[in-house]
Amino acid sequence: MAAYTVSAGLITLVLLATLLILAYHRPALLPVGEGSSLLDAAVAYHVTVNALIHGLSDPLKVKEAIDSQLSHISPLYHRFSSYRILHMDYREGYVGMTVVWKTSYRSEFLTTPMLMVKELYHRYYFDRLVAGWVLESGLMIITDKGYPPRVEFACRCPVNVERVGSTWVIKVIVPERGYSANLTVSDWRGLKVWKLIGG
Amino acid sequence: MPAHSVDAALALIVFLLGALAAGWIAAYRPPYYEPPEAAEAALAELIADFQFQQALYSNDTGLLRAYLNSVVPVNGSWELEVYDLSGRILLRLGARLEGVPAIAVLTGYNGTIGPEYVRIVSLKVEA
Repeated sequence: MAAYTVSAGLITLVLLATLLILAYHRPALLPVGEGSSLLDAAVAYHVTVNALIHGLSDPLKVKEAIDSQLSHISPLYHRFSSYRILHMDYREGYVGMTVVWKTSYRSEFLTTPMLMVKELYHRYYFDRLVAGWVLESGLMIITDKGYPPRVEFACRCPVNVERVGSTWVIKVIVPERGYSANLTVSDWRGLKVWKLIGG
Repeated sequence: MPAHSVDAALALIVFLLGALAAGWIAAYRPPYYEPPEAAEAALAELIADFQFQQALYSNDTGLLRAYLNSVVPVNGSWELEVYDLSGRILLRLGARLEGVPAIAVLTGYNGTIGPEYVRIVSLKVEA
C-alpha cells in the first residue's frame, strides 16, 4: 500500500513541476508600448480625417464612414475597442470634430480633425497630426509636432513651456476649472512620452 | 512484496521521464523579439502626412524613399512593404530586414471609403 502512495505522490510531484515550468516559460505577447499607442492614434486620426472629407457636414455620413473604415481594420493591427464623437463643429468654410477613442489595452486618446473648405479652389486643408489624451481630471491634452513643442488644449487654456535639462516641462492652467498641472515631455522629436507629475 | 517493488520501479521511471521532460522544457527558449518602438514612432509620423499618403496610393517610390530616409537615422536601414486587404503585396522598398514590423492600416485616401482602398503598411527599422 505504501508503494502505491509513494508512486502517486511522485507522479503528482512530476506533473506539478512540469506545469510550473510550462507556466513560467509560456510565450509572452508583445507588450503594448508608447509606439503602439502612438501608431493607433495616428491611424484613428487618419480614419477621422477621411470620414470628415467623405461626410463633410452630414454627421450620419461621417459616422457611417468611420464605421465602414473600422470594419476593415483587424484587431490584430489596431486595438480600437470603441469611439465616441464628442462634438462636431460647423462654420462657414470650416468643419471639425472631436472624437474620443478607447483601446482594448485601456488607453484613451482623442482626435480632432479640422477641415477648411475653400470654395474657390475646392481644395481641402488639414491640420497636422494631433493626438490627445484624456486624463482622469477630464483635462483634454492635444499635442502637435514641432520644435519647440507647441501645445494646444481643447479649452485654449494658458500654457507655459520650459526646458529643464533634457525634458520639457509644460504648465497648464485652466482657470475656469481650477486645474493647474505640470507635464514632462521627453524625447519630443521621436516619441511623445507624457507623464503627469502634478495637477 | 515483489509487486510493490515493480510498482516503485514504475513510479521511478515515470518520475525520471517527467524530470527529463521538465528539463527539456526548461531548456527551451522561445524566440523573443523587441517591440518595434522606433518603427512604430516613424510610421505614426509618416502616415499622418497627407503627401506621404498621396505617395503611397500613387506608388511614388522616389517620394516614399525620401520620406523614409528623412525619418530613419543616417546609418539606419528600413524596409517598407504595402499590402492590400487580401494580403497581396503591392510594394516593397528598402533592405530586407528581420524582426517584428510596425503595422498601420490606411483605410482610404482623400475621402475615399471602400475595401479596395485599404492599404496595410509594414515598416521595419534597424538603427
